[in-house]
Amino acid sequence: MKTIIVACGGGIATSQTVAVKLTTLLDDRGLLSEVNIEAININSIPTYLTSADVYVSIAQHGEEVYDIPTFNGVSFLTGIGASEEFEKILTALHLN
Amino acid sequence: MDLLKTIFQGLIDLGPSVFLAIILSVIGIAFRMKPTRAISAGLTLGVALAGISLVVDYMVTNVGAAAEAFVDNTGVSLTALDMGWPPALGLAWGWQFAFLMFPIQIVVNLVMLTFRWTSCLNVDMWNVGNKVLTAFLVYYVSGIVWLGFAVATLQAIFELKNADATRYRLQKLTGIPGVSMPHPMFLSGIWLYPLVKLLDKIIPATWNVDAQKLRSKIGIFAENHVMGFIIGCLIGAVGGYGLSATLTLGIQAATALTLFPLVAKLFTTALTPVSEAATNFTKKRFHDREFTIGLDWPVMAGRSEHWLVMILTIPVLMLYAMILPGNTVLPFGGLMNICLVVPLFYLTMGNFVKMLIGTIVGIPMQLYVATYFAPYFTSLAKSSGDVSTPEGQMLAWFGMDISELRYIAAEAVQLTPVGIVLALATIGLGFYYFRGIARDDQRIRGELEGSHVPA
Repeated sequence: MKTIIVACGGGIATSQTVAVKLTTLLDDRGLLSEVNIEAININSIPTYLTSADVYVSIAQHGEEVYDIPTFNGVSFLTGIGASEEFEKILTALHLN
Repeated sequence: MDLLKTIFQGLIDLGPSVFLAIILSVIGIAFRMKPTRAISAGLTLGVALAGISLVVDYMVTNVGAAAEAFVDNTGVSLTALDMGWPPALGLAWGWQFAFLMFPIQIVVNLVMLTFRWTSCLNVDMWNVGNKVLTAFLVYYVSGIVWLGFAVATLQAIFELKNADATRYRLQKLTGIPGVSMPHPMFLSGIWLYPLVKLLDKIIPATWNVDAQKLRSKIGIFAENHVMGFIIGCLIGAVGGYGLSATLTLGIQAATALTLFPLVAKLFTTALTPVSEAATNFTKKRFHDREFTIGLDWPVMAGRSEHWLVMILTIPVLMLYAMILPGNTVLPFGGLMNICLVVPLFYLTMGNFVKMLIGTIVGIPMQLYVATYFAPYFTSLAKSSGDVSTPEGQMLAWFGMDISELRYIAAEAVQLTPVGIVLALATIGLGFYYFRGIARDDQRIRGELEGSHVPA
């Protein structure tokens, strides 16, 4: 089981929106049972770093750089470049 | 018409969580979602509302009781428990007319795009809930449903105008081109702008701190369970609880704050498929137009200044709550003051010192507005979530995104002298603000286009 974390201000709205979109994309590929997606509070990232494989960030500018592969979550919100970013995430998780 | 009314009334009489489940399923099917997915989304929304009610009830039972002990022990009358934004906006969905806000927001956006009154395509559907709350509050004070939606429509229009007027500011702060932020809290700029301009004059630009370093030291206090535990223990200790009861209350408070987001994200889960359908519907009509995508504020949340100012001003907030005469709000769920700190971040381009001063200046107003609206939130929790508060206890939301504008709107629609004067002042300040902020934005645009902009 791989874990993707997505973070925003409260772990409620923006991050969960991205999490739902990722869920749908994974479901379409039949990969849903292999990945666990967590929408979390941005202040809780350090707590989740040990258990997460990939971090999908929606606020990379000015953000601390973390030790796990980090991807651009904004593309899932705008729709622009979303499928490319999704492929990159799958590659990082060795799922494609 | 009568039949329709009877059916609608019959649905409402089933109770808010059932009503929501049915209406979202129907909307989903109307947007040509697969029936199973539509029904799943509908049920999730019903679960979200029932779930948030459960957690609010838990908070009232445990933290509310301790707050009463706190009042008895100190004589400071903080009888309205702040539940924070997740339950406040969640409960708003339980209002029977809530779903009308979806088509209204979409039509406003479509019309404004068509006439080129905006270039922002708002895809942030979570904040439809924010306008639902506006409509509810105005309806509650005036008793007129359409007036509620009229004010909410006005809010939707100005959110878009504000997104347009600050798009290069956002690009500079996030490095992302082609996005904008139609979040209502940035309309606080209308009243904050003069203050920020004053601070620009008196605070040297060199006064700033390395927020990231400091935050990595104290960031743990912004985690819900840690913050909840500390504040719970404080309330218990000041309330005269014994050691074990105090620590237990700490855990209970931490539980409430940890569960709020876990439950509230179900609203997002339920509403995302429908909002995606709505967004595609709008996008298709403007495929050949250049527009900005309107996103929620966390695209800026990577910067540490927000969190540092929020954490550092929690003690200030508690102190104000204790000493301000007439304040009845006990800050709890809204301790992290997003609603004031984030707009100040935006207006000062992330200047820590100015944000700190602005927050300390603004908190009293937020507390008084939260006090003013406490009876309405108490009633909303009762009607939407069937949450009963004990005699003399109330629920509130400290922050309320645009506290000052909500208060002014509530007074203005009742045509009170205060409301009329403040509404006129808002119009005046609004002109000043929009002229100034648009000018600032052009200057930032120049800076961005002069230098290389990271794509």
